[in-house]
Amino acid sequence: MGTYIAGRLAQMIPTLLLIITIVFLLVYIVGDPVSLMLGEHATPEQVATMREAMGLNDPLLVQYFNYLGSVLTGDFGDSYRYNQAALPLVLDRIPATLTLAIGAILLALVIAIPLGVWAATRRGGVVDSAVSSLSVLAKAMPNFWLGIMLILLFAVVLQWLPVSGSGSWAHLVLPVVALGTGTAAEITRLVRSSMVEILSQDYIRTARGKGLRQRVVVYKHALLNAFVPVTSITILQFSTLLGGALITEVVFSWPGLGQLLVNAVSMRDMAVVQAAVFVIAVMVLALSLISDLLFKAVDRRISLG
Amino acid sequence: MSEPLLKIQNLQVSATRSSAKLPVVDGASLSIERGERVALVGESGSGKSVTCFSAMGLLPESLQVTDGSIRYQGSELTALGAEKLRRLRGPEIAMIYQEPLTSLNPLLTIGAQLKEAAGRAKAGRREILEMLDRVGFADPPRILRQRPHELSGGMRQRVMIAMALVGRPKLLLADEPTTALDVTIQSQVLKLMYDLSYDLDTAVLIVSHDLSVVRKLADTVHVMYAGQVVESGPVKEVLATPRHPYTQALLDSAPHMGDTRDRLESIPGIVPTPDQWDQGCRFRSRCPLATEQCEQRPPKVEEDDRASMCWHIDRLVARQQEAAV
Repeated sequence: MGTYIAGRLAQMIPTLLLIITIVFLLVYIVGDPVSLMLGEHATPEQVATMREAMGLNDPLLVQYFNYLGSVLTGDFGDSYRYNQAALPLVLDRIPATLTLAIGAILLALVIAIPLGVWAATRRGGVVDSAVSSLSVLAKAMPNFWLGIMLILLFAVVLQWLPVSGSGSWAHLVLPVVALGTGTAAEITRLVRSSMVEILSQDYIRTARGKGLRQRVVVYKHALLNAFVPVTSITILQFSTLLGGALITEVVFSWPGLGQLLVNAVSMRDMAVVQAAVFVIAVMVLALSLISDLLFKAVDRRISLG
Repeated sequence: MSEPLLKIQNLQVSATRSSAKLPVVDGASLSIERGERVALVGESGSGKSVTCFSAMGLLPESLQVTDGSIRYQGSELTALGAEKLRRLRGPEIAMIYQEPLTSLNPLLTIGAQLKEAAGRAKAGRREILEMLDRVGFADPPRILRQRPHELSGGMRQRVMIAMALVGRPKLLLADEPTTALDVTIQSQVLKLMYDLSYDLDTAVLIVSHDLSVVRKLADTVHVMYAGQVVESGPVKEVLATPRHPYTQALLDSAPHMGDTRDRLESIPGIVPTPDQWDQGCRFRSRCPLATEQCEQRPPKVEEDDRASMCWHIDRLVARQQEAAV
């Protein structure tokens, strides 16, 4: 088990290296930040001095290895906008983003599992059709649009919840709903299709043949087997959700990683962009490792190693 | 005589699609006494498994009992509600299935799955271990901790048998229990089922397409063809002197010890599909003895404890005597 985790961690290194390289090159293409940092009225001499000081006149490879060297020590450079190191700035925002993403996932699971099971056990019925149509609708709504609609209805018209910002549970409700709805739809469809397939398996017939109650057959024998595909998709969805969180955070002025990243891109605060992309990449990789370990715990047939 | 344990009369099971209904079992009758071992034999598509599943109330959604009666210890199962039927399953009527590889939940330990079955009949760990020992496991506590994928097909089928019998049901339904197993394992499992049925006084209804299975296990046999029982009687008598040309054809198409034939017979043609069924004998298109008379509904000829549905039993008997000479 320990060697498996160590092996997986080692596999992440080339992936991370690739991501760092791509982000470095993107920033290089976008152009130098010096004119932005110094403002419109800087003299050419000032710009040249600054460029020299930042090493922007070095050949690409030299710049790349210098950059790599400092990244390895956890130094992504300083944010010119906040005048502080970029990495701690990014790490500070993680709890807010995770709160939003975990909230959205939990909401999605709480809705999706009962709904998917319900639809699967009444396949072809009214409930099943209603659930299918609703999930298509929910999946089709972009979350930024849903977010704006939710703000209009619940914050502006009904004035039940705050428009945006953070600080209380009430602030969390609308962004979580905006972000979680699409995921809920996705997982509902998955739970339904997994359960439909599982309920036709021989071991379900065996369970019924033993005279077990319908509830036990569905929630113990069938749902346990649906857990494997549902977990894998849920964790993949979590990665997608981190992407969705970027936009949702902007809509709701939620002080998370997404808001920071979007602002950093528009301000060309490249140290922050690089640090944020790196951190998100690490999170996504960690999630895939967690999902594999969870499988191992649920399904003993998957032998890791 | 008291009422038999299970009595199926004129059972009709149909596939109902919108308003149309297509029978797949059409007027099957059989009965099982306490502790009796009964076989239901026939080709694929003859309706033997469906008959078995209807007694369990476990028909797939697409099939429904549309006529006839299934009585278990005097109560009418077709009229029993789903909940009452569920309570019968396990402690009263248990079942083992054709596919031991897929019939156990892959994620639950054998122990957990046996415990559920035992719990339905108020049996405990002691009964579970005892039953695992009886079905031939050397180390029952170890088996309890294992999961299905760690066991072979034969072991899994023995687990299924233990699971079915741990609640001491009065009736065991076995749907082709040895079909998916190796030949050597087949006879072990059959012997085990025979011994347990004898020791526990459990009646067995075994569904099979294999006459050698029937010979090894059953006392009574019902031969099904195209949704009907065409011949019934004690196994030894039916297999020695069949009273229906279909049973004769089945026997001729199976190899046996000391066989001196150069080639096996095969039955020409295929089983007619339900939409081709009519009043007449359904075997007539493949029967060597068929005449125009066979287009009429065949009579049910009963003699002692044997019965068959055929117009030409006398000609069949004459042929058998000819062949014996």
